[in-house]
Amino acid sequence: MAPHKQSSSGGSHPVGFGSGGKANGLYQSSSAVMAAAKKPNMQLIQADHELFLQAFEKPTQIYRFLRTRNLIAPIFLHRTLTYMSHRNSRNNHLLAFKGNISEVFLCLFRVFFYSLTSNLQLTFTGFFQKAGKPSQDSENEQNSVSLEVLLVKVCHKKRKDVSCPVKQVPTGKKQVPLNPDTSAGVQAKTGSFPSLLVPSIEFEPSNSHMVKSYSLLFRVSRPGCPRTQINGLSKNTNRIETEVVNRKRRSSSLREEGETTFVAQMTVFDKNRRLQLLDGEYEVSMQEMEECPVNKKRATWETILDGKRLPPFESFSQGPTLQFTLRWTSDSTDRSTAPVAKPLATRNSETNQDTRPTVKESLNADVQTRREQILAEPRQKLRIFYQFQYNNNTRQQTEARDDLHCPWCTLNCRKLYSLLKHLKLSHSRFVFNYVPHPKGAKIEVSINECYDGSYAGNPQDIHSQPGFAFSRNGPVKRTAVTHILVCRPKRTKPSLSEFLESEDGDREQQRTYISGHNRLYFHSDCCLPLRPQEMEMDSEDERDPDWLKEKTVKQIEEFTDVNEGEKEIMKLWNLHVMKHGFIADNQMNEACLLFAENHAAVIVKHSLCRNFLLHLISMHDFNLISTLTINQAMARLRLLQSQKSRAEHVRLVLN
Amino acid sequence: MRENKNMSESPSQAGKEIPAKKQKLSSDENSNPDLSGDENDDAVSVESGTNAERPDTPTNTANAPGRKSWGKGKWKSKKCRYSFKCVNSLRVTLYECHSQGEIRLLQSYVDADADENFYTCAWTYDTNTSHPLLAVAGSRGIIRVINHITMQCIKHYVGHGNAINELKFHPRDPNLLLSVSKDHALRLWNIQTDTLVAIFGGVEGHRDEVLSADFDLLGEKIMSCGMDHSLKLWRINSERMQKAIRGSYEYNPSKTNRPFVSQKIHFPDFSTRDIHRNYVDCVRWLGDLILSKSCENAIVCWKPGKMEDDIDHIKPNESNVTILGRFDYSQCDIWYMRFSMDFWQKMLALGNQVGKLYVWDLEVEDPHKAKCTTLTLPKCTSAIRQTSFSRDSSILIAVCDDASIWRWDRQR
Repeated sequence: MAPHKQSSSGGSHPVGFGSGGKANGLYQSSSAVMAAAKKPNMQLIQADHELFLQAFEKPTQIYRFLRTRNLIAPIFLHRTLTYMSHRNSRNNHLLAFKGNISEVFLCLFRVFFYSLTSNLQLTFTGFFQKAGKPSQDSENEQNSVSLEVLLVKVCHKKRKDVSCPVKQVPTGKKQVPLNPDTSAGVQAKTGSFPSLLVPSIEFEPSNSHMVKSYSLLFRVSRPGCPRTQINGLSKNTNRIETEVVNRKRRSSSLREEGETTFVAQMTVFDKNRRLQLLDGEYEVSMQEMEECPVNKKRATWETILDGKRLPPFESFSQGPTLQFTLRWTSDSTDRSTAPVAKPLATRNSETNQDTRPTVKESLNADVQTRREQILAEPRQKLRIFYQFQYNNNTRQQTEARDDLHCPWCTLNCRKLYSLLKHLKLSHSRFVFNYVPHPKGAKIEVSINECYDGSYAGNPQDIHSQPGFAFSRNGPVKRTAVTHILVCRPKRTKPSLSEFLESEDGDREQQRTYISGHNRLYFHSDCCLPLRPQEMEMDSEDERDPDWLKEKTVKQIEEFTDVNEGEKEIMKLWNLHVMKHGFIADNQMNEACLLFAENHAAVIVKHSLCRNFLLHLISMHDFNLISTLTINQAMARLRLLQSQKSRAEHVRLVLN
Repeated sequence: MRENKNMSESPSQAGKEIPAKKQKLSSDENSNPDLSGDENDDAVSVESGTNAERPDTPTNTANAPGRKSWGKGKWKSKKCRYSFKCVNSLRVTLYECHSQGEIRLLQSYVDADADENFYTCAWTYDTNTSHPLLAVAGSRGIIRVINHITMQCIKHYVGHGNAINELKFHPRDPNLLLSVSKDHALRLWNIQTDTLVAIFGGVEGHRDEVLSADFDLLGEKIMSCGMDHSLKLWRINSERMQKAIRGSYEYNPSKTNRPFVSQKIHFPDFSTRDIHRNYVDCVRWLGDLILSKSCENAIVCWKPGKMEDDIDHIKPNESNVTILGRFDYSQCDIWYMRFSMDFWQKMLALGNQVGKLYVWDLEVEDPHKAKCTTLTLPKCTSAIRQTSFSRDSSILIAVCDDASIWRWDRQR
């Protein structure tokens, strides 16, 4: 190893390949310029390291953070991305049959079919809970706990319902051994364990509500167990498990004095009526029931674990767990027709008796890890060299890895193409260039100088009251005018050549893909943020603004050499001209007639007829209007005048 | 800290004054994520009611960058800001019990933006929850409203084109907030519906930074003053403004796609440049009279129009002003020095640039004979930018450029 290599010194190394599997071999064949020097100058190394950190540390930290956040609260799922389609487990499931399409459908159908006509048989091995002392030590310690299994049906919401109606169907109560000796358990016949049968009829649609999803709710009551003891382990640990495993936590009001109740919930059919529980042995992490159940109405989103990531299986070693065997049977004796998930061979119940593989079912975020272990097809070793370029591309360091995990988010991309695509699209603070390499691939990593770090969310969030652009309290509604544009670009065939460094240094590709979306506009007159709904309206018309009218009136008011009547006419006239924008001499005839039309009432009312006539005459003197216009305008006024006097006359007569 | 002197009594006691506790708080002290850095406030809470608030002392920060430049001459020094807040009757009771004037730090808010420099603050309360609210604003021109019960910044208003020099709440409507800004304009906000009711400024508005403004007792008019040496009167009891205020309460952004139309008031109802010959940096109503000061070592008491004119019938083009009196003092010729009055308008206080505090007792027959008391302390030597009385005027707080806060209790 080159002497000046930083190696992963704690967290400071920008790319500390922390949590991979065993395959995380980290080769650091540093090829910095001075690597050749026999006795490297320590100071230079130090300086070089500083430069390296300076360039890569910040973005790496950011991507690390985003990775963790995405695990806890995903914004999107990698498997839904086109270039990651091989990560989609459902595809794998089907493809594993390797049959033609009709066969695939048949299989699918069978799963449904059986699930609907089979009984669900649960055989409980025991309830495991680490107590302060082993159970044998004390005479008083009970050997069993009482377990109640309920089938929870979440029904479709009807219009009148506020929330989804939930039905809980009790399927039975059993005494389950507490902390049974596992070695003994191996020998024991399965039959000796308590078991429950959920009849298939329960899974049939009931008439009143269409059932959306089914799940099993396990409720274990352990009498007289001191609460503190049980709960000694980190509560958070339980929390995340159950939070993820059980989509919905429900708590019951039944609670006896001195009894500790643990609950867990597992989905049998999800809302798409997909069967989630195949035959197999399960171990469920139980959660102690909270003192005060969260009121559903008041439930809020919260950050679990303060964003820290816990080993996924922690709770199984520490927390209370319930072990059981699950089996779908068409009747209680015939087992052979049970649907068996072939790809996940370890779940196969047929082999249970002999090997008892402990499949810890934790349907949580790390399903992916498990799948990867099982499914990753043997592949020839591909070594990826990451060449970090920094200091204006004058320096570089190389690191190599043997797998196709993304160094920043440890996502297993499983294909070189996917890895490159992922790097390019998800880590755009860097520029990645692919260089073919005899042993695998070389990826040049440099800092993207053109990275647009501006806020890419809804710009309205920044200015809303109160602003919550950067807080993350669960999902928020997009701005009302955000449209999803469906665009179907021509997809080129995936090819590694698209990652090669382009000859002409094409900057185009490094541009961010979203633009214009993150822009906020402001009203020009008051500088307040413009709401998207207001975009279409021109609120800032500059023609005859109010202040100009007011100013005009005020200025006319200040004249000392005209009388009050003249001032009034001048105000009306000036505002009239301003409003209609008359600018040319030949518009004056029209302007006068329009003025007479619009303002006749006011003129008559304030008896300004003579002032108006004077105005018309002076316009005529300047050769702006013809005598005809004067006549017409005055005729209009006189008509109104006579109507008015006649009305008055009539009123007088009537009175 | 004990301190205090009987302000209204014999100077003989002056020798016993001991400085109030000086508080230097550094901004790092805390902790609350949200906001506001050094703020200041002059204060005395407006709110009535509510509970037992023991508010107080938000913070300030002695070491904010940029502080150094304060207090340098009148040209650019900005004031110092420290806040003190509100002292209400309950609190006074507490002091009596301990017979010591303690100043206790309760909360501190730091703005997310390091460039923010708060200049001003004002108290109001939430009309729904009765929580006291504190509005703060400063160099960035963003108004933030803090609920110190929930310890959150609950609102922010952008719009001003430059720094905000003073905030004031309407005396009768706790939702109406007036902000005056370096962008030459004043804005009236409705913080309940988050609307901008009106902008005062423009054609005949201020021609330079607006430095100060005040509502009259009934909240019918606003007097503003600024660097253009002028004082301007803006009526808000006009039909137009009343309609706009009502409209702002009725406006519901979720029900309409139309923006709320803010009134643009370009023409003040009275304007004068005859009172001062320099920046007018502080103005307050005293009944129908006006107290204002510039950096000319005097607070001037005056009224628009002639002696006999009613303030409510002054015409916009009125050119007369009547000066009724002056309160003279010395060594106060830098700008951004604010005087304050207690709630009952019986006391007037102003600090000068060498740390001297002048207190006038206005409750005398002849205003010209208002008794002036000078409060000095050997250690208080830097410019006192702002002062504030408690509601019952028993406590006077003064804040200095050297980030110190001085408390004076009245012993009587």
